[in-house]
Amino acid sequence: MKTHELSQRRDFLKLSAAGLLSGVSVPWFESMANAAGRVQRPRGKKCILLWMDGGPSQAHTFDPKPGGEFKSIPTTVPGIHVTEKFPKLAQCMKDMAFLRSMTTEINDHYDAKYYLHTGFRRVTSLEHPSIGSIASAFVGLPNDDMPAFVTIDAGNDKGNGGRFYRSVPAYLGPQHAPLAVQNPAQGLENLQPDTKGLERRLQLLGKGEKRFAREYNLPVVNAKQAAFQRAVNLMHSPRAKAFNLDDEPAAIREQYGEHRFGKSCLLARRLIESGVSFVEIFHRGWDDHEGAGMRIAARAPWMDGAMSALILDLKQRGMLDDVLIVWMGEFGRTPGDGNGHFCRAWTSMMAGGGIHTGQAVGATNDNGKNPGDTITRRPITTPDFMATLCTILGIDPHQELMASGGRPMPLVDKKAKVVKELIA
Amino acid sequence: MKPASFILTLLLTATVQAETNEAVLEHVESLGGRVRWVSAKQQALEVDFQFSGDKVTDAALARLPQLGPIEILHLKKTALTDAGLRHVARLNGLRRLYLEHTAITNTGLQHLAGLKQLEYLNLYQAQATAEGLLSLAPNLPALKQVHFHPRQVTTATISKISKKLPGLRVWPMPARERARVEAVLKLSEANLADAESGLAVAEKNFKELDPLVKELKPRLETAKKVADDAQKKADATRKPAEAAKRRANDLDRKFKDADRQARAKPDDEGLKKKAAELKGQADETRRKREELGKKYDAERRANEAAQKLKRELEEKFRRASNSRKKFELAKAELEAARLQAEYARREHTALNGK
Repeated sequence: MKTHELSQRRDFLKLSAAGLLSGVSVPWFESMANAAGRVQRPRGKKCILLWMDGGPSQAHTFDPKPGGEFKSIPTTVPGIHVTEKFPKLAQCMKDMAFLRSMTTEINDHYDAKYYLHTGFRRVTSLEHPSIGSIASAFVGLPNDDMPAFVTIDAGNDKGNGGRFYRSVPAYLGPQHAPLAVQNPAQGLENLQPDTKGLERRLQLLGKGEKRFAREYNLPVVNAKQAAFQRAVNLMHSPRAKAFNLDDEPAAIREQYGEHRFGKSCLLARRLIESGVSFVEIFHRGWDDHEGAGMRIAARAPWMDGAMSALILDLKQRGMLDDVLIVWMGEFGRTPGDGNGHFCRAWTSMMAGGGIHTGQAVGATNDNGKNPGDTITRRPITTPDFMATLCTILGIDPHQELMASGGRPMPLVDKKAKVVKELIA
Repeated sequence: MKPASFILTLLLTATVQAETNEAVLEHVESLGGRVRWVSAKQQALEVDFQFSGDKVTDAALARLPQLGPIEILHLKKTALTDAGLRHVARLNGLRRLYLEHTAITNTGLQHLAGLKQLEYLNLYQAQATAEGLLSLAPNLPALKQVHFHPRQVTTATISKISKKLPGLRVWPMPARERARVEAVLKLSEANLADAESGLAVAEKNFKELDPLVKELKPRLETAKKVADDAQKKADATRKPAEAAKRRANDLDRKFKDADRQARAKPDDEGLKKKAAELKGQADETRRKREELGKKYDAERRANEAAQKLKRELEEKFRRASNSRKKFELAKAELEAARLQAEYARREHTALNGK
């Protein structure tokens, strides 16, 4: 079993350094071992999760079918089509991969959101950590100025779409809870310290907290103080400027679009650049029970513009191989008009991240009255998806962790099989 | 040299080296930099100054080679200038070098000619241009990927580089970018045309159907009532008809049984009589069954017609009452498509104006 703390790594380094006397090690290595408390384990990949809350229609986006409401257009990869509403993303196909055979068992909003965020079905006995918190624990840099996991609210079209799922770190510890940005245009409103008395007040607070921690040396107390300290660090960090979109040139802001989703994508890029490991952007209102066609037609331009801008911008900056972009909801929608929930066969998208892009993994059928209702190739279950996501980010999905009460928990369901087609 | 003193010498060297390493590590951290292992298994380092800003100057990099084998070096947004690249050039094992947003020029770039392992070079928003790369790149056999801002490249230089070094990928790629912008423009304009015709249809429907809402509402109410009544009547006649059918079938079977028994024993008068009696009853119930069945059929047909009318009116009403919503959505769709086409046009003009 692996833990994500530094201690083990330090042991490993000491052991390696001990090898010096047998004459096999390199001299610089020992000193690194001494300083191993400061030299950190390597980062995995970073991730931007674009969460389309409510369940986007695959037939109106990335799995077009003959006779569908939208026409299909070719992309830059021969043989892969998307609907006509996504002309810009169609030109980015070489950097994207579709997973067209998601099959995820749950048709209820909240339970499906929980399932797709954690890889486990919701149970009453135990809470599972969400993917963002997992990335915070395994990819994020401990004691960094910037938070490892940030969520951005990209607004909503309509109110419905079921209860909203909020990422929970569960047994990974409260330090891996997300920092929530309520409005991308405003960044972190309360970040500006009211200069004068702050330092003194913090010192006073620190004294009190120290005494409390001495008397009640509990993990939760330490975690709370650590979280507080991180907030203070962020307040003082020059990197906190990343939260301010006004610093971005107008031309780039325009590329991402003036819509709140575009601003969220731009903010995500700035945060990733400044050291955040996992950004989840959620846009609510994809629960299109009155027909997905018109709704998605109205939404498509800003989604198309912002997502393609994000991919192109990261690519231009030479960052795309280190950042995985994931687009998904909790399920797809019924084939045809997209009126109902549909977990049996739907599409998610991954871009960048150094994976094998320019392909569509899996396929659905397109004959009959109800096109696209069954998977004809390579079903991908929720655990499969989660194991794949973890593997791409550089997290071992097969490791076992200790949940509260000393209960060993696999990070991802043991039956999960990684989608090998995606991994380089 | 005796073995013991050999080990002693080795240890001493290691200790001296060790102190230097740790001092350099402290130095890096004092500048706001970070040192990490490149991966869990490799004994190579990544030095990250991308959040250090102006604290990192040319002189600050002089001690880096003593830290250990550095494979990845981030110098984004630092105060590095051309002179500082001399120190960077001493990191022989360097594979990835990040120089975004620095003052590095084409002159400074040439210092890197000795980095035979260098695979990746990021010059996004640096002062250097593709011209500088053109003279540097032939010296770097491992170089695979270089990044610039569009302002730093010209189509001509990029095509020269790709001709000279076909294995090297340089971003941006003007030819591909042009093709992309063309395709986006074409598709966006097609979408705009679709949205325009979609709006025309939605508007026509709205103008036709919306006034009908008021008129359809009472008609639908009546039709619903009629349909409900018809359903009730049909239900009411269905049960007796079905009961009669069951009874008729029952009696028919009983009569057939009795008839068979009577035929088997032609001498038994009692059986014959019973069969005749049952036949009379069976005929009677069959008549009743037919009568009730006809009644039910009539009610059922009436109900079907009423339900159909109700459904039709419902559909009409739904379309009429939805026409406003659809019109609104079509307007939103057109607005979105307009914006999309507008952006595509602007991007197109910007690229071709260059």
